Amino acid sequence: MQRYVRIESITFDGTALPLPMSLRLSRRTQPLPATGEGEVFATSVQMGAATIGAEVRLRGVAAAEDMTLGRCGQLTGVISAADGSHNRTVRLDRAVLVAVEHAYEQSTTASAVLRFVAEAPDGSEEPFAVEETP
Amino acid sequence: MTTLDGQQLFASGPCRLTAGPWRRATQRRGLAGLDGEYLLDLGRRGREIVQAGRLQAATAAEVLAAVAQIEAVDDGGEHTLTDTHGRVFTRVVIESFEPDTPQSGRGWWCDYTLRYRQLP
Repeated sequence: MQRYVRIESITFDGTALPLPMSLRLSRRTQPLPATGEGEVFATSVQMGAATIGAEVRLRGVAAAEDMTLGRCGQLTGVISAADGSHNRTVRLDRAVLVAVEHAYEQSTTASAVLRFVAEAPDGSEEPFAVEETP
Repeated sequence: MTTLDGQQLFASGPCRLTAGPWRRATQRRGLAGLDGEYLLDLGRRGREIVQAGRLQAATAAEVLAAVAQIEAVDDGGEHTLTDTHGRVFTRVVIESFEPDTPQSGRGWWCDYTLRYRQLP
């Protein structure tokens, strides 16, 4: 199992996001269960459209304060492997900024969380891509 | 298994039937200077039965074919509807069939609502 120890960079819409602490990616769908007559349990579980999201945590709030909700652009994160063998680049081609959160805590650095949801223009092309470079 | 005229049109997914109350038609007549009114019973007029369910198939074309099969029996004629518990609803006429657009999830599927009028 590969360990990733360092976030080299995260950029959004061509702007570098400084001091990244973490990058989380999620893929979710909404279950749509249906039950027939006299049935106790769902006999059909279908899925709604899948949503691919990302969450970026930054040390400091200055960069996040300049962000406008609804801004859309490519979100790219470069993470390096522990053994230095390769970098992993994750990319959301059309990431829409849907939330910005600032947190000020006692005796520690302020932090910000940026949340994104990816859109696929044609509804079928995967907006998430990952590649590994030596 | 809910069937219509013995045909298994809804077997690909679950469905529920809700039978509404029988309705009676009445005419009311009042006369000047008299308390009360005449109530003329015109008899039973029918009741609505709503079937909500889901059609499922491996491809969108198969879901649309299942929709077309149901549309084919929407002919204004009387049919016999039988539910999972064996309840039989005779003399039902399809009043509307509303399928959603097919969607992909695990395979293809669409939810639908069928409204029947059961004649007395």
